[in-house]
Amino acid sequence: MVPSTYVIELIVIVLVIYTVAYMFYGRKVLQEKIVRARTNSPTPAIEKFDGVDYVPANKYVLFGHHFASIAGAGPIVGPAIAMAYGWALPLLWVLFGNVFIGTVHDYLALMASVRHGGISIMSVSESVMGRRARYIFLAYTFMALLLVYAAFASIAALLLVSSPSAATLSILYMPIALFMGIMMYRIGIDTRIATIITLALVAGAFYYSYYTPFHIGPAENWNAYHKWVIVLGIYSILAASLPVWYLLQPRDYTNSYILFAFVGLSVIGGLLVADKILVGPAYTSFAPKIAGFANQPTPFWPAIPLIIACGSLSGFHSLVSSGTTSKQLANELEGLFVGYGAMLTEGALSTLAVIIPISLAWDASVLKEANIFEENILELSPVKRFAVGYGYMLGVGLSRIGIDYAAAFKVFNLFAVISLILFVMTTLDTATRLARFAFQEMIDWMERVSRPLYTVLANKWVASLIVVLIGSAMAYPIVDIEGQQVAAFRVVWPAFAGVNQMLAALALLTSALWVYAVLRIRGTYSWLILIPAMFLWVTVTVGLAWWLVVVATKLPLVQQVGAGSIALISLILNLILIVLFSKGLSRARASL
Amino acid sequence: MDPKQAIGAALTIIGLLIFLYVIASGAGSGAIGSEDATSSDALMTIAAWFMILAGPALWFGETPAVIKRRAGR
Repeated sequence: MVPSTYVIELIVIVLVIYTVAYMFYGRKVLQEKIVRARTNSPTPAIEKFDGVDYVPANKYVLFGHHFASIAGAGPIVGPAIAMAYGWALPLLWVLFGNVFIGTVHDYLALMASVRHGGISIMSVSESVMGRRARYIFLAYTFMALLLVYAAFASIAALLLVSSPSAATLSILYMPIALFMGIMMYRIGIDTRIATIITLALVAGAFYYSYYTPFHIGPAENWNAYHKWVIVLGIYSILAASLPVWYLLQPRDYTNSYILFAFVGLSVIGGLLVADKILVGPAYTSFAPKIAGFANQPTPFWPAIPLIIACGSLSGFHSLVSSGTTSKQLANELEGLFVGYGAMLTEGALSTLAVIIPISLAWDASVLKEANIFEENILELSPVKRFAVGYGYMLGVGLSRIGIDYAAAFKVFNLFAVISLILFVMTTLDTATRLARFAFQEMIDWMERVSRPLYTVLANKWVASLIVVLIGSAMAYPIVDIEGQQVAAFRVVWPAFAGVNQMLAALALLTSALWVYAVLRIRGTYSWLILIPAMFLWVTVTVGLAWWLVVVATKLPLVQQVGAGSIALISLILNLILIVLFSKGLSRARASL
Repeated sequence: MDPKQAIGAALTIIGLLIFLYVIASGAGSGAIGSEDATSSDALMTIAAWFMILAGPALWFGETPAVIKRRAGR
């Protein structure tokens, strides 16, 4: 029996753990003892400046880009699904995974890339595991990014159809962000003034969107959904091919304010209801039945990484760290704030904006009276659990200082959906850019065979088009499951989650080997990286194998063929890579 | 102004005008587009959106001096 827990207790626990982790584990151990970051060491953004991808950024702008890119749907949808275990186990995994795996993984991938001229973590693997590992890793990553694109394009399209006001804001938001870039870089307006103007415009856009929904077409026959998939495809090609300073940097910088407002409001909301007890159960079962897992009993271990995903750790983060972020880092010492700090912020987002609000709104009578659910919040889809929980916490909190509950609930429910869409759209175009990088690196051998063909395929517009065409082909179809038509992401999501977490294990193993073989760190510090990496690899490998045997076999044929085959190929590539890792480790030990 | 910049400027200005028009008309009618059919204002919004996203890149194409300075170029 878990004693009653107050909201304030969880907020304090989370903030203390994260502060201690950043100051001691991050700064003292990772930055000073392991990476030995130097302020006078030129970064790839300076050395290889090209005005398109290699562009030094202000550390706050870069934090905004990095945070907005890594914070996709995972840290929200994942913990919302995991609430089937109660709140204690998901919270434990978020905190443990954040401090010992996720932050280490993101920071080391960033710094390994910076030390290797801004190349991807897959290419870093060549220096420690050999050339074959690089191409296998690149192929694996390219496949994972296609799944990211497909899953996120499908989710974004669904959200834009189901929340037309959020669609209006999404349409207004990009030109505003672009205008900020022009104000800062072209007109020469001071960053602070440009920020104030931009935020005022965003606030105006939010007000306008609240009263003016945007309908791209009729929702019947998935017409609007299909249109959004196409529009998002064209948008992704544009956003992924244009120079980073033009749209990506100002957009993500602006995004970071929305994201900070989102996290900040959840802290304020939490503090306003600090004396309330979490009414949701701390623990329900070690293996509850979860709908996304074919209603099979889903054991916390080894399935939890496949559920919580980015809220705790994510392989996609290593691609962002060693893809776009490492090419924009102006100073090695800023790497900790950007790479490590952003992951902690994302973990805080999972706890403060998802786990606590859902636990608070669990079986609230006001939500039952409004017919939002009958018994408890688990009846809702994961996205609705999050939006309702967030709106409820702020509604109750603000009502204590005289603001009408119903109005606050409605506004913050919409704000939650809008924030989620912004997370998803940012991840979508960053994934396209990263997939382009992976594709260009993967076909570099072609330059020796046929230079004209290589020049065409490696062209940034062509490479982006290839990524979007394959991704959209997976996102576009509507799937019939047991007579019910569902969007494509239902087919793609399980494979995406499994492959993504496996990617995290492989990237962390590569980083561990880089620390051991290249930085020549031995003893306790090297074990600090290697043990969590091995734990994650075993957990995800067993988890994915469990999913293939127990869950995939219960799914409709279309899911078995689609998600199942991708997961199986990933598992095989993963086993090849672990063999190459072992050989690399042996070589490093032999070279002592 | 070279042809690329001229096209960029045209796309930006036309896109902005269309965009402002649909925003104003949306404020008047309470919605942009329709739930029943694909309407012309919805299509105009999307077209103008792409014009605004792509136009300035052609118009102000080269890397701004402030960014070059940051890289020591």
